[in-house]
Amino acid sequence: MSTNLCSVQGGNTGGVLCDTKRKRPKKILAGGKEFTSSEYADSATLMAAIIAACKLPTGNASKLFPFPEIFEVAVTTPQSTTGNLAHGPVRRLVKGKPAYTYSVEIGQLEYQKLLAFDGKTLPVFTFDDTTNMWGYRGIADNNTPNTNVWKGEMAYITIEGNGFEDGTNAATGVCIISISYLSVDDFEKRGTYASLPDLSAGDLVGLKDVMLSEPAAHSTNVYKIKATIPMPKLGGDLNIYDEFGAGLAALTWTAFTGATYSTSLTITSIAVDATLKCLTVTFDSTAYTALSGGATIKLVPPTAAVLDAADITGIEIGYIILTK
Amino acid sequence: MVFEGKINFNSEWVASQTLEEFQEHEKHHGLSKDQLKEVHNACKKEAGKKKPETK
Repeated sequence: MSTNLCSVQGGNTGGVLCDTKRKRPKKILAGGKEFTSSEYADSATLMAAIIAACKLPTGNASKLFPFPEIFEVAVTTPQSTTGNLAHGPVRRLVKGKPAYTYSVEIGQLEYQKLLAFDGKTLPVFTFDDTTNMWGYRGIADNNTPNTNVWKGEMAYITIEGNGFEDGTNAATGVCIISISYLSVDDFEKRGTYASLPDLSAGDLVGLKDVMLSEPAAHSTNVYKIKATIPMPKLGGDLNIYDEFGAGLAALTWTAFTGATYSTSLTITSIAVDATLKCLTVTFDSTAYTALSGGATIKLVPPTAAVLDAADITGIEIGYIILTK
Repeated sequence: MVFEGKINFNSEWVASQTLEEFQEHEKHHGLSKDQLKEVHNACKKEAGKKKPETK
């Protein structure tokens, strides 16, 4: 019996022609979506599933949040630590965990929205400049094709920057997104890519938050509802009425009452109000009158997916609590 | 049922109302009684429901 174990360590080292490697990141998507083998069966199906995941309601565990397009990448992976005995070989003690900083140029609103991810640990997909999307897929059982779900690679995210520029250095004033992967093993051994030649970074855009408010006091069961994008600019909130008012009125909204908002309240009509640039929402007067004074009504707008199907794209509207 | 691209009426609810009830309930939109009658008829057709109209 041989006492030389050299031939039983390691494994075959052959690569496959035209295989690829991680290239320069262009976009990252953060969120919990896990794609099944059916969803990643082909690039067209996967592309549609990725875009659909970006349009899910906030709070949905499978939603993906696209980050801004990356304009500069810096590799900040710490060097592996090494050590050696006085006369011994250098041995690696700790392998550096992959880490990167991405510079993006964004406005104040988008920066403030990104801060929701500051200091958070989430799964992250990375779309690189050769149209490959990188994620994690667990190892398959022996002698079994791998049909495990494909999901993001767990990473710790920080957001900073977006301060004043110094007027001489283009790198000042940008937003810095730091991504630090939790497991070097997962990054190296489980890193799995999808080739998405028809996907463009511009297809992966985050939704804008739209807020509902009451621009005027209601008249019994008739409420005025305004939809705006709050801006970090004095007097600069964007009213989406001109662009989407008629489209919003034509869709189905719902309303609920009760301690847990589980009782449906009928909406009898939704109309455009061109004077106030808002919607007029009318509730069933019989049901409305039956509510006690001070009762609250939760008015729920159409979801981002429904809006998108009606060509009202790029927004998610939050609900509003109205008071009788 | 969307009337002239401006008012989205809940067809099922409209069809459950008499014409008079509907006209009274939705009078704040500024439509004429004839226009509301047109909407009422269209919603009844859409919802497949009928309720007797009072004089």
